[in-house]
Amino acid sequence: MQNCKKCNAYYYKKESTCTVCGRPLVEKTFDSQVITQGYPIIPAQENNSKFVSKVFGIFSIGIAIISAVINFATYNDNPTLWSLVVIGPIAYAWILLAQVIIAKHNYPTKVNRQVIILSLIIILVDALTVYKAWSLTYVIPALLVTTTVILPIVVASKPSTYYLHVRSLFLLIILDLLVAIIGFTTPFMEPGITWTSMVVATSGILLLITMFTFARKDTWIELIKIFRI
Amino acid sequence: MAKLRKFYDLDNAAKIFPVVANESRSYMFRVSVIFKQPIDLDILQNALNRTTKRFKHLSVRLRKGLFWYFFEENLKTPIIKQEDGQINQFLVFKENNDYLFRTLYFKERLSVEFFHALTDGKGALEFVNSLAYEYLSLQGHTIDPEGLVIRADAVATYQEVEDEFRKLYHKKKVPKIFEPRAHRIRGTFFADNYNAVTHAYIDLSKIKAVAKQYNVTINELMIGMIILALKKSGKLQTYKQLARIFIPVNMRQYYPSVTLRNFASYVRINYDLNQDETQLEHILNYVKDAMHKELNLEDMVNSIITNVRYEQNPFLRMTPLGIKIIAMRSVYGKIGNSLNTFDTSNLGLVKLPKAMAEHISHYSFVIVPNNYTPKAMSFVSFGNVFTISFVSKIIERDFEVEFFEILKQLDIESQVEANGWEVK
Repeated sequence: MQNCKKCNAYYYKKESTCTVCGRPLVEKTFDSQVITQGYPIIPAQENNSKFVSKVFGIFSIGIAIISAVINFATYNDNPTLWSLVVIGPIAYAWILLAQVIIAKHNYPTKVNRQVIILSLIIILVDALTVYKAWSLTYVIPALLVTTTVILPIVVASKPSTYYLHVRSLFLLIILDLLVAIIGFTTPFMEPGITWTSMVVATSGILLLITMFTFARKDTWIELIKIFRI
Repeated sequence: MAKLRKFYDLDNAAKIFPVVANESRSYMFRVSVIFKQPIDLDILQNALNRTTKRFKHLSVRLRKGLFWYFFEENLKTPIIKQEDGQINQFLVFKENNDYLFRTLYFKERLSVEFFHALTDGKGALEFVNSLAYEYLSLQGHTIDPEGLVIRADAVATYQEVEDEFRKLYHKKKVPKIFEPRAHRIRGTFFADNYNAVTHAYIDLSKIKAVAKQYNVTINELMIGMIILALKKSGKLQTYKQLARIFIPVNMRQYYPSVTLRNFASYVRINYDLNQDETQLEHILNYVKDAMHKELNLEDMVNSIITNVRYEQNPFLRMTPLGIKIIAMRSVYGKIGNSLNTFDTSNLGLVKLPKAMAEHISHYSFVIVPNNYTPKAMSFVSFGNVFTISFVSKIIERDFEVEFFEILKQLDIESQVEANGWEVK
């Protein structure tokens, strides 16, 4: 075996220097029953994806800053916040990338996040273009009802993973009810229009009934797990 | 619909790990068994499938509830991979079929790396022993378990998955313990959270003889040697903080528990490195006294009760998990990290049936350091082989050099094995 005189250590492999002190090893007899394997050498890794994302990141920030500066400098001649139209899609593209493409969450979670983000953007657009309440009255309820109809169908297509998506479906129901409550209790919707709120609430309640009709035990146990204090 | 899956709450010690674990603080530990013959992958996969089904508390995935994380039965097949040279790296559960332990092989070595939320060293050792037993049995060896290993077909009991921390909890007032900050070992960190490992295989009888000569236990001998090596490797520097050596204590030795989940407390040995003392004998006397004082069951139970009390607090219980995560990370980042200079752990003597032991060369046990406590050391004994495993996040090896120097002075020879310390 190879021996390091300084460390009084023996190496089974044909190494030339001591791992501990770095001194050269010399051949010496040593009786050992210990079987050593060593460790595989770690292959060098190159991470190009980080470099690409940094380039696009700088590019996005550059465009956003330049747009904002030009908008600010020419605001007297053109008194609109047009730069938000440039910055908004860029910001949304990054959110989309982070929350949907790169994120490791399951697809119902991603869908829910997109519904929430899109709803907030729609409300923002409505607010920035003189608030007429079209977002909360029509667009967001339509978005929620569509999701409430399609998402459970997709989830039901693979029943073995249903239990993983109960929380997402439950969140969707809460969103439905929340938008409905806003419609009935606040002045943020078009006056006199309540049918959209009723439709969105009904779709949420129907989804809940469907979950308990087709998968009562799974749904119940999942809710116990989620809300366990 | 799918099969209804059982679920378990995380035990008190486990609750912190999923929250604070990251690439630089993986909270993984490795138990390896080294056979005398190269591993047959197909047989090992078969053995792993059988053993994992038996150990219900390990056959789980981690999920988030609104208030707490919880474990849920995992019905997927556990994966075996060949080692890639990395040790105790952060485990991305999704890439591991959602399992919280990683099974690896390399030539004769079978290693299982566990996320600490699952179990402690003792629970992990039971699993690895059972896996090794199952593997050897499937190879055609007839082995009488002699009551030393759990067979894959043995009936599981509820007591094995019990949270013993809750049993110790009471509502009486317990004294608060002041924990000073610890001296921090500094150095140049390896890139990509690499953990460099060196195993020193030593004749157990020699270590026992040295411990006997100084009238200390093997544990105390190792801690004394760590303190002396820290002192010598620090050369002439002065220290503002105490050196604090973290030592987990297996509570099963005090309570008749068969739980395979976490059931450990801890003690810390504090030492002022500014002292002029450089004689191992004197340091060992200090360590012996300190260990006697620290290994006070009441104090250890009190520290457990303090932790359980946080968990039982109704306000904290009703706080959503997202807020708990932010709070726990910020508190842990400020306090938890800075209390230890050096982490150590002793898995003890592995006892196996005779017919099984003859197929095994030795065991190794590797814990994981973090950026604040960049060096750690663990040890395990099997047969007449005492394995010391040094693990480091920093390139400098002053501590290890001094430790081997002390071994040499004690006339202890070692056989050394390491993964690459020269990785860039």
